Amino acid sequence: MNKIIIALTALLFWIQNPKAFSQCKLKDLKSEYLEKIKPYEFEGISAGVIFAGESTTISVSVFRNQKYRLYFHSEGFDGPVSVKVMTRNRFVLFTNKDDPSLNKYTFVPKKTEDYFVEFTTPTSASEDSRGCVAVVLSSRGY
Amino acid sequence: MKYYNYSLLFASLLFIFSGCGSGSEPESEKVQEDTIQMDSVTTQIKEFVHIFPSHLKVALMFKNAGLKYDPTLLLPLRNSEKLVTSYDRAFGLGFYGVDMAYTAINNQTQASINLLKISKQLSQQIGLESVYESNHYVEKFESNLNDVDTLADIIADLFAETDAFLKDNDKLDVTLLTFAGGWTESVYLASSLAKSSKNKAIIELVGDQLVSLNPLIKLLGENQSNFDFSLLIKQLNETKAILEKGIITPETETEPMVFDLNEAQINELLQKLKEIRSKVNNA
Repeated sequence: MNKIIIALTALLFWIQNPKAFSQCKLKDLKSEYLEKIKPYEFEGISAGVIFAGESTTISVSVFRNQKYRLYFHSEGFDGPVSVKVMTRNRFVLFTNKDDPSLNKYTFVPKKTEDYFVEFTTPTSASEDSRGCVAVVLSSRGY
Repeated sequence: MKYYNYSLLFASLLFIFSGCGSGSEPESEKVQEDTIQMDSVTTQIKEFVHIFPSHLKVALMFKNAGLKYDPTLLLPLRNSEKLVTSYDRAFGLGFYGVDMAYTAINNQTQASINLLKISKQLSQQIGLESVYESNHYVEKFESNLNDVDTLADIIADLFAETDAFLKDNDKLDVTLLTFAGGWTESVYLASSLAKSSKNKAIIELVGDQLVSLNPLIKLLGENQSNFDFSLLIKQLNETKAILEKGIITPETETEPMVFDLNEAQINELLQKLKEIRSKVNNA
């Protein structure tokens, strides 16, 4: 009986709090990307859990004339996640519309400003389906 | 025994459902405006925190722009002992973190390790001891005192680990407070040296730090359940207003703003930064 209750509790906990079980912890994501981003250096990260079929935006400050690379991370969704990088005025700098496997964007901003990374996740048959999205900012040289 | 089992299940379910709606709800409405406003973005993102520039990167950018080392500008180490509230310790951590980066990239390794120890002490006092314990930063630092690049890497990792730990543990208010302290110290060090050197590239970079102020002030305003940020927000808004006086030509869609500060404006900026800094400097 004990084992059943524990298993049921764990299952319910996972359903309600997938973040606790998925790799959506910033500490883990940071460790994962430290190697992937080389020779770029880690600058910052933001991550969170969203429902399938929803969109979210993560903002990031970048300085002019610096070489940056943004990495886009998603997991737990039933299909490809679309990503757009935009300026404040919604000018699209990057999109993975033509190639959903693109997971990074390298750039040198002409001016210091905030960029906005918009994730749109695919719908799912399951109403409660959700997953993790993250942006990793890296840079090279100063 | 049965009672125990059902109690366990009930308690677990209560815990599970108490977690519902605690910040993981997405904002389903698409932003319709032509321009992305910080208001709409922060409403939308909830769990997603703006990615601020790393203090180490800012310090290195200032150094490359010609920022010299002046030890008289650093916060006295002994001041850290006077920081007794969680607010002051978190705020002070940002200042001492930037001083640590500033000394390390200028080959002042002994000063840097002293500042690392102060940062460790403050971190422990606000519940971040595991960041240091699991990564052995002090030991790594002491083993690489002659290698400035490695020291910079260690500091970068320390900043990133601290940031990740705070965000993973829903301590966004502490993250913001620490960042605000670091931002103030960076701009204070740069402005102090820009005043004497009249270095245009440093002044231009000081102007570029405006980019962090809007999201910082906005997020501070939205995360005051544990701390009262009203005075800090007021001071940062005043700092922003002083910096904005230096905008000679506003940015366009494709071109950066043209920015400069005359001596009187630098003095006004420094006076405001000293006022913010006094929370830690005169604690």
